Amino acid sequence: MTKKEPIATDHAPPSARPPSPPRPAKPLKRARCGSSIERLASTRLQVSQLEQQLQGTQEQLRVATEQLDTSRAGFQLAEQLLTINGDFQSAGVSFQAANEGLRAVVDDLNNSKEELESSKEELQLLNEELIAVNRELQAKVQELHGSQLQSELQLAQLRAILDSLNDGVVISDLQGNMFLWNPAAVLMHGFSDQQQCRWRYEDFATLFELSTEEEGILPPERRPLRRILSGETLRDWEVQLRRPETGWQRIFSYSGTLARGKDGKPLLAVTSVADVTEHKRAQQDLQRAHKELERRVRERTIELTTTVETLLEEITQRERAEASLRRLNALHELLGAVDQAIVRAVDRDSLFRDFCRISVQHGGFLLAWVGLTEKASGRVRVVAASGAASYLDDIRVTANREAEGEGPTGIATREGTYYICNDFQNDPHTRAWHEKGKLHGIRASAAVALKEQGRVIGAFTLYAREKDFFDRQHTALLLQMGADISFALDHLLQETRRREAEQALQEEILERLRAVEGLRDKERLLVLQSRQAALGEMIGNIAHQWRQPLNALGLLIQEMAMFSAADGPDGGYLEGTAGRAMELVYHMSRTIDDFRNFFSPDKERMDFRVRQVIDTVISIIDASLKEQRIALEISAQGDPVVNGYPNEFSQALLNILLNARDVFAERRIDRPRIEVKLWQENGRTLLTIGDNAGGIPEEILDKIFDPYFTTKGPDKGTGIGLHMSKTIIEKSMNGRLTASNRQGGAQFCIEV
Amino acid sequence: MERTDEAASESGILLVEDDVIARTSLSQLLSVKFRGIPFHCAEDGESGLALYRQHLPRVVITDIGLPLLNGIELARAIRVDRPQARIIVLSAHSDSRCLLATAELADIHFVFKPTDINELFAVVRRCFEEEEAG
Repeated sequence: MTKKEPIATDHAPPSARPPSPPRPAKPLKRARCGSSIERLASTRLQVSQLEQQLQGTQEQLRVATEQLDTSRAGFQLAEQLLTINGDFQSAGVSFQAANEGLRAVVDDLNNSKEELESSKEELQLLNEELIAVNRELQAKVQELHGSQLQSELQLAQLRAILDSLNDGVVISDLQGNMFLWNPAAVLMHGFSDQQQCRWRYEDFATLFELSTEEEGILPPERRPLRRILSGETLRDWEVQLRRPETGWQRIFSYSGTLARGKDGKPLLAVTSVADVTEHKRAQQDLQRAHKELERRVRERTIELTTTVETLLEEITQRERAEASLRRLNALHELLGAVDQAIVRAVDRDSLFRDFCRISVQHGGFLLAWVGLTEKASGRVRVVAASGAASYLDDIRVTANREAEGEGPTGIATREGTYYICNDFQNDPHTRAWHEKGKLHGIRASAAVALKEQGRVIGAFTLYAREKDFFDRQHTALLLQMGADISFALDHLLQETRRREAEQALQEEILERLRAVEGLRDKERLLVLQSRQAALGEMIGNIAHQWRQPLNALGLLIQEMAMFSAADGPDGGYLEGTAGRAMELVYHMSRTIDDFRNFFSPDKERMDFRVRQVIDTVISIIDASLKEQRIALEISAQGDPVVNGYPNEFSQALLNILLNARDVFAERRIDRPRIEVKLWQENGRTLLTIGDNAGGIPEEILDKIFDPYFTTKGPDKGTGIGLHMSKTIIEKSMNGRLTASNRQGGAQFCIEV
Repeated sequence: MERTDEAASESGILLVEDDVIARTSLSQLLSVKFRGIPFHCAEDGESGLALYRQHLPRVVITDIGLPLLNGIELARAIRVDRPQARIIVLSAHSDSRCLLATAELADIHFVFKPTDINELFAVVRRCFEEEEAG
């Protein structure tokens, strides 16, 4: 450490003042004297200026003191104080300089005295004047001395202030003598009192080792005081201090500057020191904590990055999964559509066609086809295709163990399972079709066997544009689809069989219908027969009815012929005979009308009087009954009207009466008698026809209304009559016809 | 009885017919044709039999379908009284049952309806001739 020379100052002490400028020549005495007066005047001015300055300084001091009172900003204050101090000192120096100046003036004046001896008188006044001025000046100087004393007092105050400061303040001269330490500075450096601190810089340097984080151990020229002395202003420069022999160490924050005089010349070095060890430690702790935090943030960031990457990965996976899901959804949709097609399908071919079409349309497949295995050759024949079907042109696929049987379709059909080829272009199984597949952009394919009644009949094959198109779930769906279609095939087969059975059934039904129709024809024939029988009966009845009148008519005519020839025309006789003849003719005509009405079928239901119908029927068979001497007894209560078909009703009644008549003839009943009773009961009309022919044998009682049942010989009965009656009463008129035996005969009862 | 027979045989013809027009017409024609021969007529079988037993006419003309006692029964009853009685039955062709019934009775004359009056006259005359001859 080199010893620093005191810095040369521009303000040379008065002794060092350069010689006065050369004075003007003697002839210029007056001028000289004038010049002295001028100088005096300037000196006066200077003095007054000094006074003013002093006053200003005092004011400054007062302000500074006030500031010190209010502020503990050590350094600035100290600096200010120092500046003030410097100012005082420089003021002192200035005063001294002024004094010197004055002294020089006096010298000048003394020197001038001899020169002015000659003009003594002239100058006497001036001299006196000057003396007065001088006196005045001395008084001023006196005054100045007084004010210096006051300054020292103020300095003491300043020191007290310094003493009370928490920050250390060390003041050194320009040579590095640290002549003033405030108590805080002493304490800080581990000294016991001021005396210990009277270090010169060099000594201090040997005692303490200084270092900074940036520069390490500081070389002498980098030490704070040296830097300050070299003119630098330090501000909060943190330096670590160490006493190598004790291990004591602290961190101080240095601030400092040179205190300069009024003219800017450095006077002192003021260094303020703050012990920032704790603060520093705290700061370091903070820094460590900060670093730790940073480290952790870094770690966390890395972690986050990893997480983000993982997340991104997951997103990618999810996207992939979503894509797969989309495909899956498409396939689900496809499955749904296929299932619908299955429901709609009416035959195998249309089902296959629909399946292929739907697969391409809904499933987005490049190509879909269904192949059926030919049993003999093992060749898989295309029966339906949709999409890029040109791929299938001239294609050869078999279920045999050969190159063409090693593809997905071949494997699926041969083994009755399925095969998924997710890399069509590279799968050795599809080698036979690599070229063709590439041409059509096929990247993946899947084949699933189709079964009918548990037997493999072929397969469906789907082609996709993407590699790895079919994942596990797709495969499951495809298998489901295969199962569905197989089920549909079974169903269709069953359907076909069912339809055949149905057709057979239908034919049977038709056959039965035909039989029924035949039966109906037979019945119609029966009805016809019965009508014919009835007609025959009627003709017989007409014959009976007409025989008598015809006979009478014939006799009348012969009588007329005979008597007109014998007796000549007699107006009265002829008239009477003609009248009788016409009566006969009218009777016969009425009979015809009765029969005709009776045989004309009823067009519609109508209300009719049962009595009238009975009368008509009687009129028709009356002759026939009479011929057999069958007594007919009719008793009627009231005149009931019923709704229905009167001619049918009369036919029904006629059949019952004819049946009784025939039984009488057959059994040769003595005194045959038929009793017809008509009455009303509970809003129903009842008509009974009873005979005394011995009744109906019990064993046939429940058969007499059956069609074709007859007890008469084949030449007589048709077995239709009573059946017809029952049909008419019960079906056409919603009535009831029953038969029973009572009082030695049969009784039929019509209830309508 | 001889007298009675003579008287009866003299009393001539009995007609039994239920149809009023036919009976009237036939009785007029027969009474005119066989003038002088007693003529009786009845409208049912029983009164016919009573008249026969009362008058014992040579010839009996009867319809088949008669109330109370039909023509066949009447004929049978007359034959029981007088087997040689001449009986003419007026019959329709279809009255086959009656024809069968009369088959047991010999010497019954049938005249079919509608009655040809000349045929009936002829049969009546033949009956009288057989009576006279027998």
